[in-house]
Amino acid sequence: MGRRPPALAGGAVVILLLVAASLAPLLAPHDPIEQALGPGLTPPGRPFLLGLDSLGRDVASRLIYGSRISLLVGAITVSIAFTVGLALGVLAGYYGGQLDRLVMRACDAVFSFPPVLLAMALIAALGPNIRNVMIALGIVYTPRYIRLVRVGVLAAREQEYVAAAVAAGARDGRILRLHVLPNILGPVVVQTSFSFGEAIIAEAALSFLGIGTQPPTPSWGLMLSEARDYLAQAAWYPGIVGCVLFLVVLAINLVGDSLRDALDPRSTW
Amino acid sequence: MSGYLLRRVLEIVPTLLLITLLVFSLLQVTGGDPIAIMLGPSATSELVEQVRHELELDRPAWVRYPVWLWRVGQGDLGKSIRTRRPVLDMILARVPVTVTLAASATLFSILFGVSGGIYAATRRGRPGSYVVGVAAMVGGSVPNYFLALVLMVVLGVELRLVPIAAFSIDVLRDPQTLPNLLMPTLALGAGYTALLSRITRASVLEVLEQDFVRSARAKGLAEWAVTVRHVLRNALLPIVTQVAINAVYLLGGSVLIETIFALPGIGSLLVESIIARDLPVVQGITLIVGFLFIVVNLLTDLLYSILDPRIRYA
Repeated sequence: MGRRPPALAGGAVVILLLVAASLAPLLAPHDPIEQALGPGLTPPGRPFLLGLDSLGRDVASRLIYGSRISLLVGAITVSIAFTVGLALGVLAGYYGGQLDRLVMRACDAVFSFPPVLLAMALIAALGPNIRNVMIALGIVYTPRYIRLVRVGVLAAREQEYVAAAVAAGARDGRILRLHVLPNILGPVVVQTSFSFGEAIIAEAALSFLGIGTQPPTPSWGLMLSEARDYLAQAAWYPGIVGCVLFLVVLAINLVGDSLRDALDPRSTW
Repeated sequence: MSGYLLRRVLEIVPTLLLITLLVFSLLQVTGGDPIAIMLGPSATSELVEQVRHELELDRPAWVRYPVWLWRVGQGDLGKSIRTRRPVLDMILARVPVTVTLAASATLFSILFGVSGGIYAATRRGRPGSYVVGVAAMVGGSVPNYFLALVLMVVLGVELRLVPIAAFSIDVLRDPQTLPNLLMPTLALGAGYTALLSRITRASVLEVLEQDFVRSARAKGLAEWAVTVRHVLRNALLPIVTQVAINAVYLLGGSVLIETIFALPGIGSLLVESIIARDLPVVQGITLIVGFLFIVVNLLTDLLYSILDPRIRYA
């Protein structure tokens, strides 16, 4: 991975994002929700590096603070999906039987819906706010982890080193922890990076539609949605926000891709 | 064949039931009183009770579920809280726009995704393959709503080639509206094209390594004939699966695209209904999309068994 320029660039952007999110109060030149810093829709320049939005708020500061929402949603969503998916996937794969069948059918049911659409339906029921966005996306992404973990466990269970551990008298918990899990984590880690990027896009999409982060909290999707009304007057505004969103997701996907390549050389272009 | 068909149909029953249970429970998980939330703070308590009675929420869930399921089976998806019209009618009125969009984006993705994937696979390690790789990476990472905005600025505002929003895409009745499809098709199709090109490439690469491909080349077949007749035919299954999955998953993306371009499809109906907390409509749309996925999946499986008879006996 270290020798691949795209992966390196992706990693750099991800690190930059982490820095921006964690040091937002220090880095942001202005308060992200303070209005009327100057005339509305001031184009990028000095003193406002990335311009002002229609309410005269500093776009650069809002982007920096917005990265916190994106990262938070990505992290919480993936944590929910990873934890629940790992637990259910291990149980289904290792013990099999009725439980396995039930879990797999439930996964099929969730897979029957386009991810964003199911998340929207769940948000419609739970109520539109950022907490529910994370819960909904977490539920939507969980079956992917269940499937990955289950398949991995099924394959690992048949290995001789597991049979050896059983013969040596190891308990289930120890076998799973020491022998099965370390051997199946590769694809799960790759999936983690992809769902992270997808969650960021999905949060922005839901906020864009008005059912995610609520104003005045700065979220990239919300900014893009506001910018949509000024396409003719200030195309730079949606351009800047969209490019930031695109670059971050591209960077995360590049990192995910190189992780996958490291595991499966056939995917090299 | 009929035995295989029957087995496949029976297999989907539990999944269908779970889907209905999931959709049914959407109305049960609302925080607080769903009726009060849906009707808003200005609703009188009489109205709340009346709607509660109409939706039969005054009875326990385990009593309502079988009744609801029975009605769904009869095609009765209930009434909208917002418009008081039958949910099914509201959805059916929005079908043409969404189907037009999904069909055109699917065609676009097959045209460019499959050919791009084949091209990249047969030229692995050469510049052409990297170009497709970069295009797939970019196409797969750009959010479709941002792409839509870029297209609006470039094609609509700057070049004035097409109207920006709220245009007609009724291409069957009015062929002159065909150019209007350009922006929504590109915005909706880009991501799925990228995905399809990856799947195609991976599948074709796998087949290219097989012995029968070497035999076909050894007997002097032209490279295009090897690719089309021997490689593509055998690489087709994963591609067909992905096309089928995309066709249904496109409906998710079309929510954003319809909203951005102000097109009256199922996606924009869903957004309107969510914002109005009109849960019966949300349930109806979710249920239909879920069912559609299962049906498309079943049809794909049957198509497999025609493409590759070995599957029937597996």
